[in-house]
Amino acid sequence: MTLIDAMDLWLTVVRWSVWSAAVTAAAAAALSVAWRVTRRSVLARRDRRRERYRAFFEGLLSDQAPPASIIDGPRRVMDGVFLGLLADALDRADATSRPRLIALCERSGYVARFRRAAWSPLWWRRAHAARWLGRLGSPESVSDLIRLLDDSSYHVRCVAVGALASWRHPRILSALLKTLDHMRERTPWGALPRRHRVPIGVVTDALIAQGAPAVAPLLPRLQSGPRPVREAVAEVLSWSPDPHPRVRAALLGALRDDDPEVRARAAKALGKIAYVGAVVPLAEALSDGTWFVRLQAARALGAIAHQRAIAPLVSALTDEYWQVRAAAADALRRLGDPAVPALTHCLFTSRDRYAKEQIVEELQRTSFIQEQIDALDEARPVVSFAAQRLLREIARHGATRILLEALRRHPTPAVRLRLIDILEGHGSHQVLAALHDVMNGDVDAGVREAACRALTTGGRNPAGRSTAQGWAA
Amino acid sequence: MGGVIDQALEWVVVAAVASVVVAAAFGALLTATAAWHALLHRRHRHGPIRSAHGVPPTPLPVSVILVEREDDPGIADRLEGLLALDYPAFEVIVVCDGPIGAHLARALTRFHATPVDLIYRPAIPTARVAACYHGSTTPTLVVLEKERTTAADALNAGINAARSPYVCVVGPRAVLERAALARLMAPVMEDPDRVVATAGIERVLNGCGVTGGEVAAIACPSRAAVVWAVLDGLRAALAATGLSPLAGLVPRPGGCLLAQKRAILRVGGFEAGGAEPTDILFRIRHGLAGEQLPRRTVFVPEPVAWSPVPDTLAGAADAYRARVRDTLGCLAGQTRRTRMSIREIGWALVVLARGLGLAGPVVDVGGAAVVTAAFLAGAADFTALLAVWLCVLAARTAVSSAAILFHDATLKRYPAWQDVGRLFVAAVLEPVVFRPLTALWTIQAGWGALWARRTRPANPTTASSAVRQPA
Repeated sequence: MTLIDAMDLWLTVVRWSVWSAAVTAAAAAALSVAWRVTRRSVLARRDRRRERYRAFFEGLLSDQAPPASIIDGPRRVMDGVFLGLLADALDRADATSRPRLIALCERSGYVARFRRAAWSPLWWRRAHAARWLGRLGSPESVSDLIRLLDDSSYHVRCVAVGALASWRHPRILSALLKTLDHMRERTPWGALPRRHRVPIGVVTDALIAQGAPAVAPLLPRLQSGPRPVREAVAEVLSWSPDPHPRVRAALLGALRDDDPEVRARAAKALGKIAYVGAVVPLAEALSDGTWFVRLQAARALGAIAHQRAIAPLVSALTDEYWQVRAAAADALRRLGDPAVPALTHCLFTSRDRYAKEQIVEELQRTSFIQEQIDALDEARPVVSFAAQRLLREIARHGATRILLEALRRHPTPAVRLRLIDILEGHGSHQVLAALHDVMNGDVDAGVREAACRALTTGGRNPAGRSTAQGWAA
Repeated sequence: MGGVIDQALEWVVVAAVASVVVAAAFGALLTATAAWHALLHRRHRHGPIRSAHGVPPTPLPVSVILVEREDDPGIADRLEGLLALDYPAFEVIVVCDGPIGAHLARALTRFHATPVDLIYRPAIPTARVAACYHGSTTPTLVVLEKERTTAADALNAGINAARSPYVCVVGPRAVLERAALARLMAPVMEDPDRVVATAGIERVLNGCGVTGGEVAAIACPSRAAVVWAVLDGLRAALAATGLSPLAGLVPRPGGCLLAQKRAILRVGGFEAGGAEPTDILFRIRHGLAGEQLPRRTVFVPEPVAWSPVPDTLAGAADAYRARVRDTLGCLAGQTRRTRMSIREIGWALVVLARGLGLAGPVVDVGGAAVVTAAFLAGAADFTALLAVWLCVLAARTAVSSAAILFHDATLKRYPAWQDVGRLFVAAVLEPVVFRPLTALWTIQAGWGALWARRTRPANPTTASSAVRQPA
């Protein structure tokens, strides 16, 4: 084969390749056009269907006379639009319209279909059926869902537990408690399941969804169950606040549990029920050996918001873990006005730098400092003096930027004068730069003069004085 | 001697044909798995988010981290868009790498952000953080001003300041979808014990209308460089969607990446010179592989971010070379971490995909040139020539066409017929026009990276922060 022939063949190959590429792209473009056209018509049809179904469900949920059967009959059972709207209607249904909707679904054969699907050999159909049986909440399907708790598929078991969680029935509660009792020690990698088991978190969520009826049968398990069960029960109690004396006593007992997870969850639960009698035990829990127990205790004391919690929370501001310090400061902030004196007192008296920083951090996240800045102009000297003293302390612990911002922008010259007085002793470059700006640019002559004086004298700090004199020069 | 040369030439031809065919087959495999993944996701997407057992989960808070390195004129609108994200619990942390510019200062005024002295806990050592600003009317906004170092250092500062258990790192100048956080957090909320990172599709912002920090009108501009970038982005989305079920990860997450803060802290944050999100994902996977924990990284086949691309060929070349350098750095980092367990085989597939993506243009163009030359010299037969050229042109076009079709099936597609037609034309022309150019840029960047490696300066030193630091 000569070179010419080879070139000819090569060109042929390139031509074929280009043609095949063009044909591929053209075919894909045709497919795209077909897809778009089809999609448009499908979407239009779907929208029309949706409107019809929506009108149907709106009529059903309102007080109008219920229709005899579901629109288009049960052949729509696989229609995603219909099922979506049915699920939405079930979510929105109130106590009167929900039984009507469920009865209609039963009459139209939906429940029977899903019950049959719960026996399907295909696991995903069983899972789908379990999910829908849970949503429909027909009493007939309780036995099916309880049977699916022992399904061979892990996914189906999980969905069945979730489905049982969505409605309440005495048989459901006993089935869930039985599942909980079968829980053994956790696997080494946390709450993940072994085969033929459901994760404890799933059962816990389902029991949480059962609400108050689940609390009483769980209490004995909080005292004598194995460790994961005690943890689960404490978690359930933290999500199902029940102020019954038996529950409170059980939770207070759980605060002395061997397992820190149980203690932490018990503290959280006591915070949820806002039991004032728990203030003292929770305050004791603030000195627990495990940091997250102390954290939950601090949060719980913040939730209870009782004045007796202030002193222990103030002492928790010096905790070695910053999370606990932050939670204590946050709790004190949540306590509102009653805690402010304690916070400010701690700011003035504490020798712990970190506690003071934490207080200043939390105060900056509120409007308290801004209120104090505005209070500098207060007519009553006691108030303005207290504000000045507090702001000076805040500035001493590093939070100067908010004051400098006020110094530059506050409309009242008297406030700016007081701020200059507060910031006078600081030798930091930011403060000096701000004073320099004010000295040169403030509209008020008195403020300019005060800034100049502050820069010249440099306040009480000798280091700051020398720097300030340099700036003033 | 002649026999040896003939034998060697034959091996070169076989290697060229094999590499081109393998690359095309890999593209076909990814297309198939992407279609399957997208189909599953589409079925799953409708309806509320539910955990594995069907109970609606509590939304977990997220810190959105945005690094501002150049003074972006549209920063105020972007912040407005970020603060209006459709998610119940999030905060926005802007890290200004360097002094605050005029546009960011205006944005701070707009959001009433005032300087405060927040406690900065440098869990990851970073350069000095000079100032913090806190939005007084928008308490979810925190702005950090730090000394200018690297993008990775700025990201680490943002991670240090984050108060949420999950952080979402937003790419430079990227605009997020309103539902981006909801989409990215959906896999996390469904399986919070195992999912440590998620990412989504990134689209090209050029030509789109942005109103209030949100993409309001979608269009594809006619400039060749942008059309090529769009096509490249669509192919990357296809590859990421296809790789996700195989390896659980993304070859090139760009616009935004959501990850568990604890996992990032555990691997020591972003490394200098490795600010690319994939690098941190590599390290997270590697760090967690040693713990024998079943962790997942998930790609969500839905658009989450829109990023601008250069609209000139020179700009596209620069961007491509930068990407090649990042990929090389990432692959180099990965080769240092060779201790991969058996469950990380999928991860090796990602490395392979990245390597193929990097070497693809060179393999295609080089393979076609080698086989053509060998055919003209009589050392290759007609079948090899046909296979290579079909793979280079037709298979490549097929993958691009599949990417366009895949884009048609996702949310926020280009609505105009002209835009899609333009993309199909670009899919035919791309192997002939852009592929050789990308091969050239790859070689240039690779050579540059090799050269720079000899003369690389030491890493920038990190200093302790001037902002208050507790114990």
